[in-house]
Amino acid sequence: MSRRVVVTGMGALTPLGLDRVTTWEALLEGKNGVGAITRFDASAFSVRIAAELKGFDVESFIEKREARKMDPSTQYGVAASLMAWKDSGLDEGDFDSNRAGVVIGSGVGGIQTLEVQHSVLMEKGPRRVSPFFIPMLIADMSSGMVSIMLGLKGANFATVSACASGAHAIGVSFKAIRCGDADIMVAGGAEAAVCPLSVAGFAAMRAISPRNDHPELASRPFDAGRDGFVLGEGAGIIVLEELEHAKRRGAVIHAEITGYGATGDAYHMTAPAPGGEGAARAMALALDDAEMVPEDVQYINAHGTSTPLNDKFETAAIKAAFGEHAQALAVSSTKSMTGHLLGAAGGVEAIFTALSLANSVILPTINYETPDPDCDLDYVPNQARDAKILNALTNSLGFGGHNCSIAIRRFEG
Amino acid sequence: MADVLGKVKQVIAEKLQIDAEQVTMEAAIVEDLGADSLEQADILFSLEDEFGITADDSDEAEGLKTVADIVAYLEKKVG
Repeated sequence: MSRRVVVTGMGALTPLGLDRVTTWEALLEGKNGVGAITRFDASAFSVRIAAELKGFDVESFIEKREARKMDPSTQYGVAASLMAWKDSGLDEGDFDSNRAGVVIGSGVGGIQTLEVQHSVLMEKGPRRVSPFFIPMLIADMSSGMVSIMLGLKGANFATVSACASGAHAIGVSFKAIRCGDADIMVAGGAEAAVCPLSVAGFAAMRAISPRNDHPELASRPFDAGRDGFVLGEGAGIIVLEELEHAKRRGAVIHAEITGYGATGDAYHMTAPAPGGEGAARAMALALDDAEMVPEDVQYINAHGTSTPLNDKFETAAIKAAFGEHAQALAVSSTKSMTGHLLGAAGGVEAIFTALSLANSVILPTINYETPDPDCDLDYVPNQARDAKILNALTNSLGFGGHNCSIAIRRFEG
Repeated sequence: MADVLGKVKQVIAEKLQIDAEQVTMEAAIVEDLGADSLEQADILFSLEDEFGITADDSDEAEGLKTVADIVAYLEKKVG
C-alpha cells in the first residue's frame, strides 16, 4: 500500500498577520495587506506600494546574536518553521532525525544583504565586506538554519523557481515521504524582497502595479482593471508527515497532500506559454498523481497574480485542464489580500488551501469589480463563501516557465 | 590603552551579544567567548573600521587569540 502524506504543522508570516491564526482571520474578512512602502524611501520610484510584514520582532523567535547573521528572508523562514514545528507537536524521540528533512524555497534569497554589502564594497572597499555576506546571501540558508535549530538530518536543500519556489519545495518533499525516503519534511518558502533593488527591477519589467494612490485596490486578480502584482514578503512553512507516523503519535492532521504536478513551458523568460498550456499540464499531472478526475475537485487556489498576462493564461489553463468542469469550480486568488510573496507564495497558499478544506470556507478574490471577458470563471468575488470542499489544487507559476500544482484533500481519516 | 581596551570590549560584546564585563584581557576569543571563525573575522574587520587601520599583515592578525593580543596589536598599529 502506498504511503500517504499529511500536513501536521503550519506556520505563516504574512502581510496580514505574524502568525497563521491572525492571517486566517484577516483572510476570512477580506482584509488587505497592501500599503505605501515604509521600509525605505520610495519617493523616487514609479511604484511606491508593497505588502510589507508589519511589526515582525525577530528576537521573539531567534536570539539576537544568531538573528543578526541572517538575512530577513532567512529570519522569516526560520520563524515560520519554528511556528509550524510547534504546531506539529513533534518532539525529540518522536521521530528518526535521519529521516526528517527540510526544503525551503526562495525566489531571490538574501537580496537585502546583497544591496547592503554591495554598497559597502563600493564605499569602503573589499576589506570591509562582511564575512557573513555569503551565508546571508545564499537562498538555501533557511533550510540550513532550520535543520540546525531542530536537529533534522535528512535531505536538506532549497528550491529556486521564482514564484513557484515554495510550491516546488512542498512538491518534492511530498514525493520524498511518499516514496519512502523520509518520514517528516519541513517545507515551504520564504521571501524578503521589499527593497530598492527589487522594487526598481520589478517596476522596470512593468510587472508590479503602479496604483500608488490606491494601494488597497492595487492587487485585483482577474479584474479587467488589473495592472500588475503587488510585491509582498513573508514565509509559509508546513510540516509534512507520513500518515501512519502521524497517527502513531496522535498528531492533529490538518489536511492530506495527494498529488504534485510540475512542468516547464519551454517558451519564454517571463510570458506564459500560449493558452497556459504548461500550467494546464501541471494541473493535469497533479490530478493524475492524486488519482483524480477533474470532477473530483471543487476549488483552486490560483496563482492569480493580478498581472494582465498571468490571470488570462491561468484561466485558459484551468479550462484546458478541467474542460466543462472549469465552470463548476470555485477559483480564488488570495494574492488579492496578501500581495505576491514570490518564493513564499506557494508556502502560504498551501496553508490557506489546507485551512479552507479543514474549515469548509472558500477564501475570496477581493477587489473584483469589473469582469474581464478573458477571465470568465467563478472567482469567489469579494466575500468568503461557506462550502464543503473535499479536493483542491493550489497553483504556482514562476518566471522561467516553471509550473507547479499541488493537490490537497480534506483529511477524513 | 584604556581607550583601546574600551573600544575592543564594546565591539566584541556587541558582536557576540555578551556582557562587556566578560571581555577580560585574559579571555580567549574562541575558547572563552565562544566566537566561531566568521565571528572572529567580523570582529577584526569592525576593529579595523573603528581604528581606521588595515590588518593586511594577515599572519599576525590571524594569530590573535586573546583580548590582550588584540589590544597589543591595535596599539602597535595605531602607534
